Parts: sequence; structure tokens; C-alpha cells
Amino acid sequence: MDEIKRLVWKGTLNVQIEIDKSLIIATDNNKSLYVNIRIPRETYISLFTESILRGVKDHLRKDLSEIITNVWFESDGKLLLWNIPIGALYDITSNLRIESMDSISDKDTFIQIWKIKLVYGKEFPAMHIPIINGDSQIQKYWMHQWKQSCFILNGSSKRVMSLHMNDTQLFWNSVLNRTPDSFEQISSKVIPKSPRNIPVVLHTKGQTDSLYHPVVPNVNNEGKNTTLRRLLDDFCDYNKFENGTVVSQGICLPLDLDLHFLYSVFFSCDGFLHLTITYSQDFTHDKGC
Amino acid sequence: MDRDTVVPVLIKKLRDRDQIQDHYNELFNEISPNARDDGTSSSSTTHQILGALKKENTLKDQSIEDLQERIEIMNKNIERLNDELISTNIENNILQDKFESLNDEYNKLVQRWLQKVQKEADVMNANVENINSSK
Repeated sequence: MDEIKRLVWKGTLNVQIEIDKSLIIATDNNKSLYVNIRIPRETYISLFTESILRGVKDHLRKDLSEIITNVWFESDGKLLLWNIPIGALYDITSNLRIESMDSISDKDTFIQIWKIKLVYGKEFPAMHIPIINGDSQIQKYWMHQWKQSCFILNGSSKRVMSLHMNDTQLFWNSVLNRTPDSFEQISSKVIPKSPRNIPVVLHTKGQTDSLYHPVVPNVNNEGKNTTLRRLLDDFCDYNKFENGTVVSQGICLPLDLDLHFLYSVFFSCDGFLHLTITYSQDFTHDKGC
Repeated sequence: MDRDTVVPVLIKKLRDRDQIQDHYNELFNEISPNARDDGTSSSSTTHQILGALKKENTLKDQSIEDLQERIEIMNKNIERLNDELISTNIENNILQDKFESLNDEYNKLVQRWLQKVQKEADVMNANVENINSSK
């Protein structure tokens, strides 16, 4: 179990970010400006906005402070909600999923990249939460997510509310500075051994703005633990789902998994288990599951 | 599904995922969310010039926005003027129609008046002739 948690925590994405042309000083060749970075899956993309822009600050038309509040990220023209962990966003938007290197014919030239765009605008797209207070706003949002997830798990948010100030800061720093030990130590204070309900967020493949929070009891009325298949039976259109897949942390999941076990190893940095459902009609690219 | 059997499956899948992501990942820099300015990207003179040019650029952008706003207001004024012109034209057409109908009516009235006067003159002439012939 610890090995799975370690792999989940260490997961990264190769991201190529194209900077909006309206932000760049025009040159003769009018080339696009790209930033190639490796981002941990378990974090929020907006935490990196300043670092990304700082990396290209010599090419920017304006000072960083003037543009930082008016930028957001898009993938294929669709808004990427910063309040969903990056790994889950990637699972929702990526079209081609390769399960192992063995299935690649030309391994020497293969490279997995997620191409997204950093967009600047005076008017924000619908569903985007403007970030006006920088990282502290993201931290507050993240803490609020943990309160919600604690309420779902325990029936009250007391465990998060009663965390010591130092622990709260240490918890947030563990996400920022990628320190798994402190994250594990403090999250274990919030997550009980036998939770009442499981905090799950269901996403639909290709729809970045569609999220659904179902109420999923850990143990159902018949005294059995909820499985992933049961969750899908209760909350998905089963006719559409036939032959579909469920993805979390970049891998397709077996449907017979116990949901509590899945949560305990796959929960994201915001305390929720993010599951991406690919319905059968969208199944053209998700192979090898 | 038994946990003892599922754990190795999940670990293998996650390792495969990482193997795919790690292929050529040296091309992608690791980035820290709270990275601060290291000041090594350009020399100080270039940096100063760049800063000044950026400020100038901001001012120019601002003046472009102001001008665009003025253009929008001008366009609205032109639209209003066009509307006024159209309404004046319509009013002119109505007045022209009214004028023509009144002119026709006036001409008809003059014609009727002349006919009436002609008749009266004819009667008077006939009377004069009768008087003259009776004498």
C-alpha cells in the first residue's frame, strides 16, 4: 500500500505550455513561445503560473504583476479549472492513453507531452475562479476542500478545524514542497480507519467543467463495502458506460475494487478521490485497460 | 477483488505510467511553485532598458485602449446621426406626399372656382344680352 501511495505522490506530467501571443513582445518571425516543465500530478496548476511567467519574463510585454491575475489555462480551447488537481485534469482531457511502453512501436522517438495554453484576457471565461490573492487564495480553497472531505468522511469537519496552526501550515507546505511524510502524517489525522462516506468526485472524459460529488457510503445497507462497480451502477448511465473505463491517477482501474481501499491509496492532495469516467462512445483512444 | 492480488496490479500500472512519463523527461525542467526571481536571466543594463520599454509599452497599450474607446463613442455618434438622417428623410417623404395632395386639392378648388365664375359670367352675359335685345 505504501508503495502505491509513494507512486501516486511521485507521479509527474510532462507539460508544454504555450504562452498567449498577446503577452509576448512581437518579433519579426512571430514565433510562439513555449515553456516545457515537469509538474507533479498532485498539485494545482495555478501554483505554477508565477514561476512559468517568471521564466519568460524577458519576453513579456507587461510586468508580471499586471498580468498575473488575468491569466488562466486552456487545453484545446477548453478552460482547465485550477481547482482540480493537475493529474485529474490531465486524465479528463488527454485523448491518447498508453498503458505501457511495450505497446509503443517506436520507443526511441516516443515522448508523452500534454500541450496546454496559458491565456491572457480582461474578461474571464465562465466557471473560472479568478485568483486575486495568489497562493494564499489557493491555500484557503484547498483547506476548504479538506474541510468538506473531512465532513464526508467523519460526519463533521472537526478533525480539520482542530488541527494546530503549525500542522495546517505544514500540511500545505507538504503539497508545495512535495514532502510526502508530513502529508501522510497530517492526512492520517483527518482520514479515519473506517469512514462513513467516501469523498468522490466524478468527472466525465473530455468535459473539464463537469464534476459531480455523489454521496457514497463506505458500507451499504446490506453491510457490504461499496465497490467501484456499485458506485458506477448507482451514479452512471450504465447503458452508456458499457465497455467504458474509469481512470484515476493516470491508470485504468479494475471495477471490482473496494472503494474505501481505492480512496486510501489514490486520494488526491485535496482529500477527494477523483475518478474520470470514459463512456463507451468516447472509447476510441482508451485502449489496453 | 482480493487486496493481495490487486496491489501488485496497481503498482505495475503506476510504474508503467511513470515509465512512459519519464521517457525523455530530461527535456522538461522541474519547477517549484514558489520559485523567486534569481536575476540571472539578463544583464542589469538590458534589464533596465527592458523595464523602461515595458513601462512605455504599458502606456502605449493604455493609449490604444483610450483611442479604441473614443472610436467606439464616435461610431455610436455616427450611428445616431444615421438614425437622425433616416428619420428626417422619412419625415421629408411624408411631408412631400402631404404637399402633393394639398397641391392637387388646391388646383381642383381653383378649377372649380374658375368653372363657377365662368358660369356666373355666362349667366351675366346672357342677362345683358337679353336686356340689350329687349331694348
